[in-house]
Amino acid sequence: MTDLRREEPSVVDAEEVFAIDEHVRWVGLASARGKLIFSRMRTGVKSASPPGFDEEFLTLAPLTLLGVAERFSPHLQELEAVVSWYGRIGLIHSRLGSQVIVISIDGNGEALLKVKGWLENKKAQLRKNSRNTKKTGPGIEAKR
Amino acid sequence: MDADKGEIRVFGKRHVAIDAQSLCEFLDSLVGTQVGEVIMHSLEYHLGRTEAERFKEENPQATLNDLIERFVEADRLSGVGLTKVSMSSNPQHLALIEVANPGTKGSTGATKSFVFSWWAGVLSSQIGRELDVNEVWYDKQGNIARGRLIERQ
Repeated sequence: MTDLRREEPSVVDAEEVFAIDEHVRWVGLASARGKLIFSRMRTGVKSASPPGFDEEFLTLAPLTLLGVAERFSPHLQELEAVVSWYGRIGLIHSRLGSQVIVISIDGNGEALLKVKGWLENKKAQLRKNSRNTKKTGPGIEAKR
Repeated sequence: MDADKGEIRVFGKRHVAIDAQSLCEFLDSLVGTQVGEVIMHSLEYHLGRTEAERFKEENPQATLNDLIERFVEADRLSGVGLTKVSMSSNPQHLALIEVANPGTKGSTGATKSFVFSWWAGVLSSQIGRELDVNEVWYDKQGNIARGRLIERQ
């Protein structure tokens, strides 16, 4: 239903996500407007879903899950991630900078904790980069 | 409208009269205004694009003005409101859509996308550039909703 054309540069590289843990199977990234940025299986891992399904899923489903869960944010703290388990495979959905990431892992609690830690660090890094860009952005330079 | 059949058709396409304002508000309450806007955009952009492509298939000689006239009339008949479309060559302001007496009132969330993303889909399919809804504002006093469409960044 959604236009699947790629729209903007990614805030993260798939290889960086695969490097978190060997149990990471797949990673997908979409913009906050629901546009697919990439969908990538780890080399040698067979997808459990039919062709095209992951891409279609990425466009609106993670945003919807996050939107529902974020309703609690004013009363709790900022939402870190939404995790869903399917038998032996887990999906971790999270906002990452201006984009939305979904990471699939082979059911493993240690890998889940590693992904959670990686997300926290990556979000902090993106926030820092964003602040630095604002401080040294072209608009400010031009005024000097 | 064919009351005997319980059927509403606008230029041949079946429609159902619903309370669109309530639908938009419910969606926003479910997923938040930011996500509600994106979900509604995805749906309406797709529908607008599909409708425009169908119209061009059925009317291959039709100009962009013919298409706009037809869809402005469809807006009027389906209760969206009285629509006016102004096109420009400025990429920062490719189209201005004005809807007097709009069926949905508001400038955020799903309401923002309900009418204007549909028009973004219609016009994108015809001018070969991807349009996005940049800004929507509702003039309560004049009861007019306005949406600015720009080239997608």
